[in-house]
Amino acid sequence: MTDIVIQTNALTKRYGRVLAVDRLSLQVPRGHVFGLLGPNGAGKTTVMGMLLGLVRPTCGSFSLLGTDGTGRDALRRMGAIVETPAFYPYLSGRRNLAYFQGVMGRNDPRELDALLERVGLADRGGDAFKTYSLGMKQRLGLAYALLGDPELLLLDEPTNGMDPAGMAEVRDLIRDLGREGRTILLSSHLLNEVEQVCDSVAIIAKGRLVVQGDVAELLRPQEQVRLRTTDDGKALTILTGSDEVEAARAEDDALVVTIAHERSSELTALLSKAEVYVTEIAPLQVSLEEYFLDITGEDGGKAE
Amino acid sequence: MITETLSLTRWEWFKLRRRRLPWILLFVSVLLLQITFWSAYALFRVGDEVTLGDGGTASVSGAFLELLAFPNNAVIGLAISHGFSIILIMILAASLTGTEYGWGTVRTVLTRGAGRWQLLASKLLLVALLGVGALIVGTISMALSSFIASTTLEGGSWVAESADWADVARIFGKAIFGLLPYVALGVFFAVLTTSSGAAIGLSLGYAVAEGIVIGILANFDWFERFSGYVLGQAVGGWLGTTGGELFVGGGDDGFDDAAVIGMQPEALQGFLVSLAYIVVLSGLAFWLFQRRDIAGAKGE
Repeated sequence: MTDIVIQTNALTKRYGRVLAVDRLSLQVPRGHVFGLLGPNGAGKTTVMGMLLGLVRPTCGSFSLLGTDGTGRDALRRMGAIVETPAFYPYLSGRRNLAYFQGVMGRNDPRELDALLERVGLADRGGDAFKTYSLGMKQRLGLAYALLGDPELLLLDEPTNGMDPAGMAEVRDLIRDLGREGRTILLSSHLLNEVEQVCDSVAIIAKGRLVVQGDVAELLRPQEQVRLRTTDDGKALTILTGSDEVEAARAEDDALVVTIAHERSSELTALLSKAEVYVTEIAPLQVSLEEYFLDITGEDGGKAE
Repeated sequence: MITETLSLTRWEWFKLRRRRLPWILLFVSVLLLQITFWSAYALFRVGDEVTLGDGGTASVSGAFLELLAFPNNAVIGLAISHGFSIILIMILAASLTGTEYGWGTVRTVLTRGAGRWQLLASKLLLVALLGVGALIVGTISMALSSFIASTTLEGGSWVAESADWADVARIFGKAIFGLLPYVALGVFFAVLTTSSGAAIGLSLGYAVAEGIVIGILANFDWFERFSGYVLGQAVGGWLGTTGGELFVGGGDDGFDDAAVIGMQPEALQGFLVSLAYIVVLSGLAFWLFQRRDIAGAKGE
């Protein structure tokens, strides 16, 4: 039987008339990098807040690391960043970490050095937090989350505000952390981020679970290409009859074809055999909102 | 639980001592004491004799020995500056708690497994300890002032011969206790408003409004029955400002009933009412802090 690290049962949070999280039931297996995917306002941060004991659920229950609710013992085996990491602006990054290490009842300067090195802040650890860029704040947040070598990490939008290079580094770091055997719950509104980093994903919208499963399976609908040919009508007929292609449709003077990325090159060969030539081909960038429309028939909510 | 609270208090001090605010407040406290002392010194230097409360007179050096020598000067400075100390300690308590909401750090602390109860208790404890620390620093500064002043007066001694050290310690203890309801008030306002600025504003507003309201209501006879339950009056009764308790040799030095507005309760009632304020305000702060959801930074 799979060891479940996070389990929520009909977890619900209501703010007055706004239903932020609606009967959410999730299961996060041990050792997985689990994505909580949804648009802004879907309720991701509220879910994180409930798991961390910051927000009281209206009803429902959850267990963390085998204990019911958010026990303080469980919190000490976890690390988390929620939204933009908040630290004391007048303290240096290192002293901020030292303070939170002290709050955990520990005092290990070597751990601080190692964590600052790991998140790329070794040179700036002595500078005041208020002088940090948003990307540096996120890195310090990751170092904070890693204090005490936690077995479970809850990361809420950890690449928020970072430049592309910083995002890539942090995603690499999260993958490394996952390979070390930690369980990671990563919330994000970025489809590609979840796709690159996570093993499993739950998609939520308006506080409700839309779907949960393996990333490879759930995010396959994104594997689409847009193409133009010398004869789109003939090409559509060929493609819809092909076993290689999952789906094809005409859209805005072009064709949208669903096919595994690694097989998209076969499209041109298939069409050229029928003397239809591809004049333009590009991966289709499906926004999360469009993806939601596809799988739910509605867009995301605004309750967070 | 107590061990964890003490540990958190230590770490609260770790970060608080790196802020400017506590040092500014300490500087202002010591400055106020020094202004009080040196103003009195300058006044006594103007004339050859000063008139005492019983109508008698004393020489400059005699008056100095009686009132400006240590520790009498520290006790008098404490009595005069107590109202101001209340404001400073409320600012510190409100800021220490309120900024956690403004910066959003309360969430960061709690997600590392700190207990809510213990975290708030550590803040209350730290502010109370800082009150003691400020009293010690202020007292040392007054001792130094006495020493310096005594060198300028012929035959002057910097330590008062009439000093009753046990009495001085008791008065200092009472003064510390008299600050605690205001520490609880500052923390309560911070938890209630989740804002440092609003909490400081409310604390200062309360301190000012209470004096004005009591000043007005003191004109009505019926107010006598209730005045002992107003915080400022209760603390005043506990400190014994009506009987000159805060002044060494009270009753003989002309400070009886100085600046007392309205009726103040007896010391025991003042103590019990002050204690009730501490328990109720702290209890409300703990209750609110325990049950409320914690939001992100408010950007203060």
